[in-house]
Amino acid sequence: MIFPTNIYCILKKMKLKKIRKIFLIILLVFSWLFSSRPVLWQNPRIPPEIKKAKASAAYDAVSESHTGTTGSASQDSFSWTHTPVQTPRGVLVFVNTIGSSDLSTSVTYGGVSMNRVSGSTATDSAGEPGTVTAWFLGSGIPTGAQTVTVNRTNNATVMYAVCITITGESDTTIVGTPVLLQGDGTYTVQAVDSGSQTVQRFAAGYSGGGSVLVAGTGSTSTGASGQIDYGNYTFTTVFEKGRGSGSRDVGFSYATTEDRAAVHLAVAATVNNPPSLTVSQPDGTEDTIYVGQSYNITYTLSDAEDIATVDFYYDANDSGLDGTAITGCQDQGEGEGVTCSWNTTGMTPGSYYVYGIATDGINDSVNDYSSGVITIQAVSISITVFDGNVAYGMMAKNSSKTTLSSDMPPSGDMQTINYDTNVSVNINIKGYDASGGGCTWTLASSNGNDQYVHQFCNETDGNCSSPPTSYTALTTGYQTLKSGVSGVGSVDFHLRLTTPTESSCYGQQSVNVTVQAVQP
Amino acid sequence: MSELIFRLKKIVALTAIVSLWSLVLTPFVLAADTGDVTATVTVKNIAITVSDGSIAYGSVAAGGTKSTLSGEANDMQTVTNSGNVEEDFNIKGFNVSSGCSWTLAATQGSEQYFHKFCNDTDQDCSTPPTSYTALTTNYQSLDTNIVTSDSVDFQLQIGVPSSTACTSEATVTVTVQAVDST
Repeated sequence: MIFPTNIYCILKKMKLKKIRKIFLIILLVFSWLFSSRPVLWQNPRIPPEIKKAKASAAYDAVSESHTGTTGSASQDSFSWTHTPVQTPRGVLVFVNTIGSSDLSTSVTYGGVSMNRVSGSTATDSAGEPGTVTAWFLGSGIPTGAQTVTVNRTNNATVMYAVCITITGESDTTIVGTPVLLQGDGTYTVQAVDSGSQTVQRFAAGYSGGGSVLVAGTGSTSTGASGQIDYGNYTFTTVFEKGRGSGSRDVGFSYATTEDRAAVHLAVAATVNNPPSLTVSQPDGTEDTIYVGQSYNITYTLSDAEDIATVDFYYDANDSGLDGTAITGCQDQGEGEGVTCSWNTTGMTPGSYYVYGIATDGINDSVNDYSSGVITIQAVSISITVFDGNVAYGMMAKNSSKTTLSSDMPPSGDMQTINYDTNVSVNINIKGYDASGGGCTWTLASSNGNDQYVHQFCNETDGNCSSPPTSYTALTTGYQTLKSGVSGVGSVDFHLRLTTPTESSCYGQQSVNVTVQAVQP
Repeated sequence: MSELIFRLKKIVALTAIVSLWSLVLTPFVLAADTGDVTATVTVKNIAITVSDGSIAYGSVAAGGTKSTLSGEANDMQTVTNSGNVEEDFNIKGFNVSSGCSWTLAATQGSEQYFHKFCNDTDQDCSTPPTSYTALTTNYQSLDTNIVTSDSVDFQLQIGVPSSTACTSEATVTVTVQAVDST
């Protein structure tokens, strides 16, 4: 008897099972979609290819050479530790000299020399002189916490520096020309044009005023670790809140005329170009092969920034990217005039274009169709043996008989292989252990008890008239009777049989021979 | 959970079966062709049987004769071709050397005996010595071109020496030979 509560439990269980099933199906579908494998269709690609996010250069972290209100003075260099948040793709060091000229002689980040940014030195040489200059490193940047060292002219002039690391999907570079503000004046944000490139804009400003410069509209301060207030003058750094291309503002806002020196510049991720792919073969010229032969697909693949690979496909036409993957020619590497060997075993005869789809894992994949087709012809190999029958008849033990006319008068029983092939083939021959007469004779190279010899001789290319000269013992494995024949032709051969020295049976034995034509 | 594992196992097994079946169905293009030569051979078997192969002439007086005819020893011999080729039958006798010492000859004499044969299949052997031929120690033709399984009957007649020092039993062997007549 089932009580209502039990029914509820059963229904609940059934519901849970159903939910689990649906959840499992959804999980599998999402796993497939987000793993991007296996690919069920190329064009449009199902599931869609997963692309890496293309992040442009972006502000990462800031650090300063000195905290408090005092900078460096009377020393050869000053250093501090900078700790990036993410993998650094660019390093900017703004150096502030409280003087009319820049006294930084070199800057290193993690021991790697940085480059002074061309045109990045802003100077106010009158009143309360101050200088700002920028150093940059856009590649080969060591990761993790690194020591920043500013080498300077050793004198009493005060110096201070800020290090800013920049993240991105690739190395970075300074874009365009830095915009400078020099001499007495007010501060407003400055337009820095980056053309078509999406950039992160930065600004570093020295002010003879008593207050740290305020970030202008659209900019944000790097914070306390990116600024110093010496007392009567200040130095601070900002970066644009957003990122973009074209002419966009970055900088400070200060309406009172003061001694000033400010640098405004833009940093962009190095342009990442998609791979370049050209499939040069097949071009339709001398590109005819037979099924089972190998064909070298020739291509040139390059990528200036990344490691690119290419997958090859064959297609009945030269459009649509709807072909079939060529096994053995997937994930092929870069190179000029590189070949990939395509084994056409199992291919349906026909004419095919070859195309490649190359990817660098960052950009959209690129593809290229061959300019011509490869024609794969069916292999045709046909042989017949005439007359295909040899009756040695009654033979005494330990005796030999050939198919020569002397042994089988009046005209012998020479066998003829007629071949018709559109490829070069080898003609092979083999024998068998004899049976059917009540016992088994072993095929061997010498006769014995229940052991017989069966030999062949190529009459077309040799002289078989004086056996056993030119006769070769058959084995149960194929041996070459004649190699490298093609077209239509024939090969004559003789056989010679030697009976066992003793036989445990006297019935008619089958001593068959098989001839094979096969591609080498 | 166990049900899920069981179902996953089923899916894996099914996938494996489908994969294997796909392999089986994959069209292999064999770039080869073969042709056969049907050849046969038979080893010759030259064989005979002699039935019954034993004759007991019993006691024969010196200078006397005795045959295998029904009125005498009554022991006709039959040679059968038990091989697989056509055969010729030959026959020969021997000198007696064990116990007695008799010489095989065409006529009787002192320590000299004769042993004659007659092809009873092809001839009338009932009135010896008519149609009887004296055996020698060399083969003589008994019959020719005897096909497989055919037989030849033959009679023998012995003529013991006219005088002999031997009083014990003498063994007078006859051998029938078959040779390939093809």
